[in-house]
This record gives sequence, structure tokens and C-alpha cells, in this order.
Amino acid sequence: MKRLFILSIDGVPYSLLTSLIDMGVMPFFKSLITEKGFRRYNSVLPTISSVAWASFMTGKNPGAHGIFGFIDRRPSPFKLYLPTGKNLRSKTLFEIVSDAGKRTISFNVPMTTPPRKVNGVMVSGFLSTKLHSAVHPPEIAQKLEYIGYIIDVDPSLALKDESTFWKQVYNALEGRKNAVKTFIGQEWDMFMLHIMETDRVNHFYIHNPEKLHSFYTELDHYIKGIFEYIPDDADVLLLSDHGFCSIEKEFYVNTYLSRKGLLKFKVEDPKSLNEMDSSTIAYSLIPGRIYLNLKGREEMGSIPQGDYNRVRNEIVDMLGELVDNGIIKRVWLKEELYSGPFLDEAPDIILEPFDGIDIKGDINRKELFGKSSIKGMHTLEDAFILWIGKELKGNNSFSIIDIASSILDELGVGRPPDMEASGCLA
Amino acid sequence: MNRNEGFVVWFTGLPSSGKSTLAQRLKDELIKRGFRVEVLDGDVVREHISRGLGFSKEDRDENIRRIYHVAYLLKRNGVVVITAAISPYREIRQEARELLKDFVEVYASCPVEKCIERDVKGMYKKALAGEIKNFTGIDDPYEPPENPEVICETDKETVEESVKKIINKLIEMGYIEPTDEDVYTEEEEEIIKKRLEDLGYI
Repeated sequence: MKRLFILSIDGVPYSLLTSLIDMGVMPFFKSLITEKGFRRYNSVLPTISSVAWASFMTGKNPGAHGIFGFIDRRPSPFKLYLPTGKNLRSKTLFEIVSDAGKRTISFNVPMTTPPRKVNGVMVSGFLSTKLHSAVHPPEIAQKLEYIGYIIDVDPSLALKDESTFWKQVYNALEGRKNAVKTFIGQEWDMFMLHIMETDRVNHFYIHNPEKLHSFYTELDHYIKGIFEYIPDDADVLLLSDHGFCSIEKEFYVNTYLSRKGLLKFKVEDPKSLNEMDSSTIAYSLIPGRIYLNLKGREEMGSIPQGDYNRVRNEIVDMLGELVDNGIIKRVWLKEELYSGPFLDEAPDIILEPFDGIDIKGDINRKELFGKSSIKGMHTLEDAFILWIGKELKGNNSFSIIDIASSILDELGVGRPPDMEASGCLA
Repeated sequence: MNRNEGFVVWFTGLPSSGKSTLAQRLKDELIKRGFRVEVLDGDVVREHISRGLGFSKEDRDENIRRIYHVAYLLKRNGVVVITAAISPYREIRQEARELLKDFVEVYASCPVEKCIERDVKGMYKKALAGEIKNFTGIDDPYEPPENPEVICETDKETVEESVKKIINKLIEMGYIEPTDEDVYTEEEEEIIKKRLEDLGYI
């Protein structure tokens, strides 16, 4: 049975890769492409790395793994919290492969904080703050420090100290490459290295071709460097979790709901959704997740259970004007997108954005539209996958949920019965 | 901690500083985690256990002694007790700490001006108009704790943030177990929040 090396590169769009390759910017990556193994494919809604990688690791939709965003809410008592791997309520590829008696090594995969006790090594990603609590087994923390491995760059530096930002980006990439060099000699059946720096760079420089070209030129060198360590007997899968595009404008859903009289606060200048008034009908969390203030579910619910469908349909009808005006691409009901044991925790309505109009959850914006220092946003239909030497299904004919089952097939590990197993291989 | 026993979260702070609100929210959070919880609210205690006591220092101290004694009985029987009384004097709070032992002092810190603005029960208005005497913060002293386990700045923090602080301290002190949501310390959560904010993710 072959082993599999997975190089996940966060937020790299298929369209950007192909245009960079056409311009001669990424010659090494180009040399890896096999005709039927390189595809444009779909992420998930909401298009957020935590949701996307949770879907990748579990082979399940968010309704079945329980991750719907980087921030979520407990409805009663009302509480906003930051979901971690603890809230990912499903076995992941790493455990499934471990349980089959195989050994896995993974670095930096989002939503693996805190690390799970797999058969092998797990180093958590950017939802961790310190290496010593981000690693399994604990004794490898010191080794990682020694090789200069860092968890994440400080994204705020991109705006206030650009040269330090770039230094950190390249230090992080160097650390990731060194991690491969250091651990590749161990026994493993599935090795996954996640590169997060691409997402960080795209958020701040997607609009800047010059800086983007220079970064992707360097990235190509790092990928080449990593490939030098990958043994010949391993298959290699490269993929991103979503695409990216420039932000034309941000759209503030909570401001919209307030203007429609659906969201009300107890105070004039609220600091958080905790200050919602009990007469609220609906509120939103980033990006485009709308929750009804349902009695019996929400702490200060205002909508009787029996009115749920009527009120939700009325709100969907109202949101139709955003679709008609080209602000929102589509309005989804939760059951149209999700299924599984955590459907109840899903937003009642999900807004699918147009590329370029970033849907935000701010509560203190006076205008419906605005801009911030963030230049790039995620896109749903422009992730890339390159499974060297394999034949993938057609462009955009599968999503990130479909990959796990094919990985298990390739590793000769049985698919769990609750995995959504349509697969990505032709 | 003897695991068969409870513990006491002792709120102290000016009138209208947010003690009762925090106590109730903390109660919900601890019940959710499977604890038996009783709130001894200053107003309720004065209506029942301490009826007839006034607001002289002696009467205030006696009121606190009754509260900590009831808290002691409840704690001994495995109940988590949350007290929400002004408890303005350091000395009597120290007495409570020594008797109760499993004692977590939470200072609901809020400038008196802000408390006057809130004036939940309309008492500041009366005190300022001279209609009532010996009102803490106006014509009666309040001695802030010197080393409380937790300080909640209720004029700056949301209720949720303050409760999170208390929960983290209770985890740190070993009174409660972390749950799925308690991966981070307060400081770590701030780091992650900032990182996510800088990326426009929250």
C-alpha cells in the first residue's frame, strides 16, 4: 500500500495558480501538474478555513461535524465563543487512519487545536498560541523550537511593519520545510503539512500583483525544497481550501437587519451581540450566517416555535431584494446546505456572497457598505487540487467534503459509515 | 478542595456595580456544568435572614456573618454558593475567607459615577437627595479588596467577558473542570481573538 503526502496550501485560488503558471512565475509547481490530476473545485459555505478544513478532515458537511465558523454562539445563555478542535465532533482522517493501525504525521492543519492523540505526531495550527500545548506527543515541542518552527505569523504586521511581516512569513515557511526535513524520516502512512502563510499574504496583497508575484516565486522555491524530502514511494496530493479575490466592498448584514427593524439593541452604541434586545427577530454572525431569535432556543427568544417557518420565509423573501440588487448571490435555508446531528446549531439562513462583496457581521456600522484594511476575501468555487498521477472528477464537480473518502480508499483504510463518500477520483 | 464540598464565589462591589447580574449569569454557567448552585443575593438575604438589621457598620457586619454562615452550610453539603452583597468592609470579608476556605473573591469594579448612572433600584437618587442615610458609595465607605481572585471591570467588560474571567479562574484554581469550550486561558483567547480580528474573521 502506498503512503500519502498531503501538502495543503491555504486559500490559493486555482485561477491565480494557472495565471501565475502562464506567466512563468511557478515553474516547479507547473512541473508537478499531471493533466487529469489538476482541478478547480468547490469549498463549503460559509467559505472559511476552519469550516473547510473541518470538512476536509472529516469528509462531512458542517451539519455533521459541528463547525460553522471561527466564531459561534451558544443560544442560551447567549454566549459567543471561538470554536476549536474540541467543537469538531467527529473523528478526523488522522484518527481514522490511526485506528486502522497506520501512523500519521501532521503539521499546522486548522482546527486541530488542541492536538488529538493520534498514532504519530500532530502539531496544531494557528488556533494555538504556544508550541508546548500545540503538540502531540509533548516531547517534540523542544525539537520544533530548535528548528525554528513557529505556529503563525502576526497578521497585524502586514499593516504596521511590512518588512517584519515578510520576515515572519518566510521564517514560517522555512520552519515548515524544516519540520518536513526533521520528521519525514519517521515511520508514516499519511503525512500532512499545511501552509497558512498563503492565506495571510492573500488577505493583504491579493490586489498587489507585484508583491504577489514575488511571494509566489518564493513559495515555488519552498515547495520545491519540500519535495526534495518526500520519498519516491509516496503519492502526493496538493490542495487549497478556497479561492481568493479582491474585496470591492464589505456588506454589513447586521446593519441591514437593524434598518429593517429585525435587530434591536438595549443600548445605543452596542459593543457586542450580548447587548441585543429581547425584541430582536434575527441577528447575524460573520460571514452571512443569520439566526432567528427563536423562543425556547435563544436566551431571549421572541419568535414562537410555531411561527418559525413563516418568519424565516418572510426574512428570506425580504433578503430577495439583496439578490435582485446584486449584493448577495443566493439565500440558503440551513437544511438545503447541511444535514446531520448538528443541524440545530447551524444558522437558520445562510447568505452566499458574490466574489468581491465580503459579508461581515459588524454591529456598529452606520452604513450598509464599507471598506476595511483587509483586501482579499475567500471564494467558494475556485479552490485547487492537484493529485499527482491520479484522475480527478471534472472541474467544480466535487467539493472539499468529497476528498477524505478518496484518501482513505488510496490508503486502503475503510470509510466510516457516516462519511459522505462520493469521492473526488474519477 | 474536598470534592464532596462546594466552593464560594464571593462578589463584592458598590451598589449597581453589576454583582447580581454577574451572579445570575455565573449561576447559569455553573448549572450548565452540572453543579448545584445557590445565589445568596444581598437584597433577598436582607428581606429574609437579616430582616431588621440596619446599615450601621455593626449591622452590616452581622448581615455578612449570617451570609457566610449560610454559605458555609451549603458549601459543606456540596453546593456552590454565589454571594452577591455589597460587603463593603475588608475585615469581615477576610473573616468569611478564613471560615469558608474555598473562597473566590470577585470584585465588581465600577466607578461610582457609572453606578449612579445605572442606579438599578433608584437608591442613589434617594441617597443623593438625602432621603436615605448610610448609603455605600455616597455617605458610607466602601473598601475595595486588595487581592481579590478576580476583578471584573463592569464598566468596560461585557457580562460574558466577566463571567469568562471568573470561569477561567475557577478552572485555574481547580474548582471546576475545563469543558470543550475552555481550551484557552483568558490571555490566550485574547491572542487568538486579535489574530482572527486582524484577518477580518470575527
